[in-house]
Amino acid sequence: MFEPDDFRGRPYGFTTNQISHTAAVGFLLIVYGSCLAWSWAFGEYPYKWMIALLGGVGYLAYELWDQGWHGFDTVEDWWFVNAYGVWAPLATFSEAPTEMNGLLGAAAFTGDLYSALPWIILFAVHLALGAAWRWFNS
Amino acid sequence: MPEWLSDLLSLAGMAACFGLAGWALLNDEDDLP
Repeated sequence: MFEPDDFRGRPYGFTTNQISHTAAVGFLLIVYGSCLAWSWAFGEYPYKWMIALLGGVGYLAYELWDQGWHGFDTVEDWWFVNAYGVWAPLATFSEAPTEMNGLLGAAAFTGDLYSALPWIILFAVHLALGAAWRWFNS
Repeated sequence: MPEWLSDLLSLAGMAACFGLAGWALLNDEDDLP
């Protein structure tokens, strides 16, 4: 997981690697983690731009520190984390006002599945094309 | 494609998308603090 790898000729490895970037790093760690931490600290959720900034800068810094620059592979990993793992949930969910807004644990979400649909479709197409390219090169 | 050009296009694309997403989120007036 922590060695640089473009999964040339290994479509299954590419697919599972990028789903992990999106689900575990982008969504769980950055979006869910930062919302949980912010709500513990301040009783509400952060602005969306703060989450995007954390994901965009933080993940790039981590990737460069851990693996160094590998051109398109670095950018593709970053894209799976940020576009599909962070921006798609930010497009889907918004903080909703509640009667107790501002008090610890009172923040709530509203969701709109359609606003994230372009990202979800792009994710599926990107994953399929990436896997197909590796399949044909195996 | 030479490697430097691929690197440049990759970086430029990433920066452009990140900037666009950031701009859209900063101008999202429905986003609560």
